Amino acid sequence: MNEKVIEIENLKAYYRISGNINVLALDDINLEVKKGEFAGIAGESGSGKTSLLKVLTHSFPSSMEIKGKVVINFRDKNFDVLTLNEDQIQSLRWKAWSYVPQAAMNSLNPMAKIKDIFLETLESNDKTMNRDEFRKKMEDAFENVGLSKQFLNFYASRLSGGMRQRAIILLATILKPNIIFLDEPTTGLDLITQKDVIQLLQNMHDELNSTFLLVTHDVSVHAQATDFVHIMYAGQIVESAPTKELFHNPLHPYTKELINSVPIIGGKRGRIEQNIRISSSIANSVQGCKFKDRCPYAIPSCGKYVYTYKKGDHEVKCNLYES
Amino acid sequence: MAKYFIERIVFLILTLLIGLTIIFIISRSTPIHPIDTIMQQLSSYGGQLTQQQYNSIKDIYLRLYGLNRPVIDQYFSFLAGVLSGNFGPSFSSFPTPVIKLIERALPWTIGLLLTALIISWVFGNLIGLLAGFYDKSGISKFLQGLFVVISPVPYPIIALILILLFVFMIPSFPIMGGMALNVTPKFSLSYIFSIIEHAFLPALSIVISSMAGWFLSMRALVMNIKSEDFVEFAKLRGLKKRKIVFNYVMRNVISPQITALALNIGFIFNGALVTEYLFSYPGLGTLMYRAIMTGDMNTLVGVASLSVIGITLATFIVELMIPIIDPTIRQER
Amino acid sequence: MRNSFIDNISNLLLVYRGFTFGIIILVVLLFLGFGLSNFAPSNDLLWGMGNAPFSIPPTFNYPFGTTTNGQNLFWLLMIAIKNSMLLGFLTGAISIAIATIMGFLAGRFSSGILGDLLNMIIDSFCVIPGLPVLLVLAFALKNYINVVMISLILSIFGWAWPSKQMRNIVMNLNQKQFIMTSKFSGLNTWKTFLHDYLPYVLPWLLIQFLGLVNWAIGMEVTIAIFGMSNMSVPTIGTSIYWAYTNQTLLLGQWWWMTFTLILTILLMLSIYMVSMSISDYLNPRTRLTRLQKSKVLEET
Repeated sequence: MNEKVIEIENLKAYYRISGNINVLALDDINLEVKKGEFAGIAGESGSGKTSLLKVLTHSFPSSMEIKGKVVINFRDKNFDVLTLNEDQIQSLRWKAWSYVPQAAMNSLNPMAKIKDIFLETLESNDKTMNRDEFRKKMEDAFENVGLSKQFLNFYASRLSGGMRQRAIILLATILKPNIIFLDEPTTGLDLITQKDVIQLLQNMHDELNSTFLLVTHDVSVHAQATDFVHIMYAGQIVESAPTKELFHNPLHPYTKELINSVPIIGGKRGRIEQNIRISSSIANSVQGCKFKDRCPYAIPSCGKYVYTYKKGDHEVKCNLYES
Repeated sequence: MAKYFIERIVFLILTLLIGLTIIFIISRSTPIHPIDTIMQQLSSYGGQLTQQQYNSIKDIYLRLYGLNRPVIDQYFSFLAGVLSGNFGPSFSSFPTPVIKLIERALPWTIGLLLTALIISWVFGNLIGLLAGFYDKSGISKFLQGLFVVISPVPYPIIALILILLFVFMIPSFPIMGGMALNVTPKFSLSYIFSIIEHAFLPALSIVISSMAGWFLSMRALVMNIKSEDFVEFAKLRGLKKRKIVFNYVMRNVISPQITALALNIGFIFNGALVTEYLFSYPGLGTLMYRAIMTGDMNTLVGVASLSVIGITLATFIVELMIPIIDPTIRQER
Repeated sequence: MRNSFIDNISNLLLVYRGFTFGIIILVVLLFLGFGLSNFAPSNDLLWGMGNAPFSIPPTFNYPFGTTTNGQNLFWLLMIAIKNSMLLGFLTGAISIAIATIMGFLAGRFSSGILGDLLNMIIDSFCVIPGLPVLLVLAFALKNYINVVMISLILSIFGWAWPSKQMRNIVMNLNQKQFIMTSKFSGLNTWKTFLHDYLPYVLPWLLIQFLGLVNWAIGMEVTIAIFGMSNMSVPTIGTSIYWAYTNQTLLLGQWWWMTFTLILTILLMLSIYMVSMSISDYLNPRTRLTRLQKSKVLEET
């Protein structure tokens, strides 16, 4: 099970804003996701994580310029997403991958019944499945998730935010796509519902053997749910490691601060060493490491180049480990 | 859902009361003694009345409006009369009852109004839907500009422009009446053709003016809905464009447009009245003009009352259609 | 505050061609109506008999031609512009005042029975066909008709639609934090209105006012066509009435109707463009395109 299902090479993307002004969203991303993995991408707002998902799911706006290779493996074939036309992408959608967008509660048609939303998704993507069979599948899926099957007859506007979120996750998984992308699926929900959603995701992952890629700024979600985490900062991936390893032994200074900023009951009361809040204005290319102005451990070479250190599965872009 | 119906009925009654009460108050609060004013107007417009007719008009009026009775009595008998279609006799065409005059004119108005309303609403919204969906296209922007210019222009002005163009500059349409004078009313093709020929310009006038509003609002609505998350998500799920246009966009925009229709019927009706008169079309508009010119207060009050009742009922009917289109109303939250 | 006002105006002028076009035409018309019209010869102040030859087409002396009774149409139309504008402004002012009060009350108490009732009343006045009722009213008050009276009776229905918008704005503002604070700290309704709601509501009031001006001018035209305006005084409506009933089109005298229509359309279009531009300007969704456009202009 070591085959790669997603492989990104040298991905650069920027937004064109009136005339010559460009905002760099993704700066030389190289990323691999293995089949069956539950991968996570962590980072603050402005780090480029949503842009990355938009590129992967081919839902980026026309003002975005993209260079590089984004290869997705589906049914033993490799597709470079950036070279496909709209029709080809359309035929891949919801089969090669599915996508749970941010603020998913707004993503359901308020004028449609839940069951109709599911049925239309089925019709558009899988012409072979029997409708009654599917109806049974829907009801079972809902029951499994703790949603009464009567909700299927409700109009989307009638369900609460948390219920809609769960419905959308079901919608994304019910046709068993190869990859499931999730953008901030727990943000905005109360803690108990968050736990439910995370549990749901883990169950789905175990059941389906699909690959999951979850993007969230909430580090504790990564700790609970993911196998492998990539940390993004200012459009770059600064550290990647299996989750346990990352939390045990964070290497990059930014990762350390991210992990330390999770409030723990009984934790030390200490002052934060430095203000490490990102402003998105540092998006454009600078020389050397983008984190150096905020890094408490910066050394002179950080202004000239960035060294990539690799130990097994654990990779980090930081000159501190140059030796 | 029952709540919705009850609300609509309460609204119907309230609106009728307000409208009819205003008319009642107006027609009772002329500063000078009303009968004398009317008599004055009748004789000043050269109405030929014998002394006997004069006296009987005065009598009827006194009795009808019971001016010697307390105001509350008058009010209720006014309401009763108006709601049962009894508006009294016309002063200028005495003793023809007002209701008869109205009966002659009403079908013409209804025909014109209904036709114009349906055409402008359906086409305005349809073109607006397409223009909103393809909002970057040249045609969409052109139509937007065109209707933006048309939209502030009032109904009578558009009617007059059409008259200038098609009756005066390029005489292509008849200027008067509802049908040619030499055609006898029977269900023949030439009769129907004559009606259409005479109704064409007034209908066109109303349609042009009304369509602007529907187009602009629909286009704006569609452009808004297009950028909503749930439309984006539908695209991401692989739904075909046709499905998105009908199930996602249209379903969410039709309901507000029907609500808008309900609220605008009165406004379009006003425009229809003045347009009718300008084209000498034999509907309520022309009837009203003649009533004013001949000082026929009864007919005036009659047409006004009927208009209030009719439009309020029409609004009520359209409002009843809303739960059919918007199923979310049917399910209580 | 003054600086940002100037900023706003210059932004509007630079970015919105509609605004510039509208304002220019409006200013010209204001000048013609309120300035030039004062030079009208005494013959041409009211509709009636004049000294000029009957019904001649436009010439140098009579740029808009003459009426069937020998009056110089040019001066009459200048006065008509003034009177119609006056009527429009007056109706707008009165209607806006009523609409603000009704809309505010309906919005402020929108969660209770009072609010529901007020909302229904507002909707009632929107639904009732105003024209027939206004005609009855104008007929009953025939002897007292003048510009002020017309404004008053038009206001009976004019307030309804703007009131709906006002109610929506107030209901939106209700949810904002600082208003809830005022409510909870017991500030009375009137003060709340002045301090909290008014600053947000003012730009929309302006747009509604302009809409009402147009509506009033249009309604005056309509009731004048039915002969129920102040028929001897020149207004746009009475000009159309006299041009129509004197059968000028049938007789081939196109200038009376045509010039009246042209001036009417210019007036209403310019007011509409100004109000549309302001409304677009306030719309947050178009902000980005606007900022881009104004940046481009700054750089050139």
